Amino acid sequence: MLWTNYIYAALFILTGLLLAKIVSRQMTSWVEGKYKIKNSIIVSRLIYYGVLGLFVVMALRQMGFDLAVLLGAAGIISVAVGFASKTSMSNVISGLFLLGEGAVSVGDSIKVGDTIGEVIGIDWMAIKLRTPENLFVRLPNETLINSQMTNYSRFKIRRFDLNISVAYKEDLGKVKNILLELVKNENQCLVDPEPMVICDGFGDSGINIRLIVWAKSEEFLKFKSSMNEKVKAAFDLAEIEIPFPHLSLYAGEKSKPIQVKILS
Amino acid sequence: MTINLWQEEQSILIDTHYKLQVGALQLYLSHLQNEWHFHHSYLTSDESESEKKIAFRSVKIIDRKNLQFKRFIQSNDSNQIKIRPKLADRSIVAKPHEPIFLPSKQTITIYISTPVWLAFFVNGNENSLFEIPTFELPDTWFGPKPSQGELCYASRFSGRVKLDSLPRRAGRIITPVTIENNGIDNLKLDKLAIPSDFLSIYLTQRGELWTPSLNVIRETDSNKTQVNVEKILHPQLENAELITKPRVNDTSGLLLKTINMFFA
Repeated sequence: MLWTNYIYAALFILTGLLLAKIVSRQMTSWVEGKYKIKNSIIVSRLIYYGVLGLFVVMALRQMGFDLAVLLGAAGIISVAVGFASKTSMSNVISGLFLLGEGAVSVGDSIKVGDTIGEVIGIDWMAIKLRTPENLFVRLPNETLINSQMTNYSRFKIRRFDLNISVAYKEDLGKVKNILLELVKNENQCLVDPEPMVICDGFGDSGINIRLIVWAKSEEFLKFKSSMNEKVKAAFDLAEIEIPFPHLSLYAGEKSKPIQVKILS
Repeated sequence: MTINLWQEEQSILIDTHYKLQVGALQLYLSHLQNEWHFHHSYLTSDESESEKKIAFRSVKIIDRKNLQFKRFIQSNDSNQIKIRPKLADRSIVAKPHEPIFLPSKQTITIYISTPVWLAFFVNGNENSLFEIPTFELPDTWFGPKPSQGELCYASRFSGRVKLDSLPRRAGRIITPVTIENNGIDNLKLDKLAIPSDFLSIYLTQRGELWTPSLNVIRETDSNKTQVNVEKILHPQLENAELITKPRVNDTSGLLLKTINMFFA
C-alpha cells in the first residue's frame, strides 16, 4: 500500500537523522584526535550531510522516485562546481594527502621557503603558522605539497655543527682537545652519537674546524648560543686565536719589507 | 641513618634547616610557615668520586651562593617530610670503561650501579613535590639511528662480576644483569641500557638499594634477544623490603629498550 511506503520513507529519514548525528560526532572526535585538526565543524558537517544524504536517497527510492534523473542533475552540477572551485578543491585534496603522510603536526616547527614558524592549526584549506616574531602566516596546502618543507621537530635529537676558524699558528691537537673536553663537561651534549672535531680545510685566514655535537631538538636555539659562547670562552682562556679575515701583502719577496717613503 | 632515611618520615620544624648529602648532591631543606625551600648543588661531575655515605643533619645557616633554588608553598602545614629513593626517570645507557666480550655459550652476572633519584613527599601526599638526581648524568641517545630510539642518560661501569669487589656507596642502586650468550660468536658489550622505568627498588638488611635482576638472553639465532625482569630476587635481597615500585608496570616495551646493546 502506498501509505506504507511513506511510513518507511519517514522512518528512513528519522533513522538517517539519528545515525548521521552519532556517526558525525564519533568520526569527528577520532579525526580530531588522530590528525589534530581544528575547525572540525567542517568534518562534522561533511559526515552528517553525507550520511543523511544516503538515507534521503533511500527514502526517495522507497517513495518510488526515479533516481536516474536526480543523479544526472547531480553529475552536471558536480562538473560545474568542480571547475569553479578548482583551487579550493586542490587545497582540500592536498590537505588530505598531507594528513595521510603525517609529515606535519600541530606544534611542529617547520620551514617552507623563507617562512619559519610553529604550526598552530591544520585545516582543510591551509596550514596556519606562528612565526618567531609572533606573526600569523597562512600557507595554502597546495603550496606545502609543491614545496620543500623542513620539519625541525620531527626527530627528538638534532646535530649542531659549529664552524670555526683558528689561526694557522695554532696547535690543532690542542684545539681538538679543548673542544672535546668542553663537550664532555656539557651535559646537554649527547654522549651518543659521539661528538667529533673535524679539520675541514685551509681557509684564506685560518684553518677551518668543525665541531659536531648532538643535542635535544627542544630549546635547540638556546643550546646553540650557549655552545658558541662556551667555545669562545674556552679559546680565550687557552689563548687560541680566532683570526679576523686578513690579507698579507708581499712586494715580490716576502723577506723584504715594502718601501715606504714619507712625502713632506 | 641510611635505613631510617629511606623508611621513616623526617620531622622538620618550622624555621629550621637541614643539610642532606647523598652521592654528589648537596641539598638544603628549609621549612618555613606554609613553605618548603630547597637549595642544592653538585659537589663533583666525576661519577666515581661521589660520597659513600648519606649525611643528614640540621644546620643553622645556609650559604646560598651558587645554589639552585626551589620554593613550594602549601595551604596545610605539616612538619613531616618523606624522602624516598627512585630510579632515573629515563633509561640509563651504561658503557664499560673498556669493551667487554662474553664468549659463546657463556652466562655471566654483571653488577652495575646507577645514581639514586630522590623524591620528596609532604603532607602524606602520594605524589612527590619533586624529584632530583644525586648525580647529574649527561644525556645520550639509544637507538639504531638518530631518527629512531629514545633519549637516555649516559653512565660508565666497570663490569664487576664479583659482588665483593663492588664498591658500596649509599647514593647508588645496584642492578644485577645476567647475560647469556647462546650465539656462535663472542658477544661484545659495548653498552647496556638499564630500563629504569620498569624496575623496582629494594632496601636490603645492610641498607643497600637494589633492583631485581635483569636477564638478557642472546638466542642461538644471533639476531634475536630476550629481555626480562627476573621474578626471583637475587640472594642479596633475602628479607629485603620493597621501597619503590616501578614507574611503568607494563613490561611489553622492555625488549625494545635494551635490544640495541647487541647491535651497538
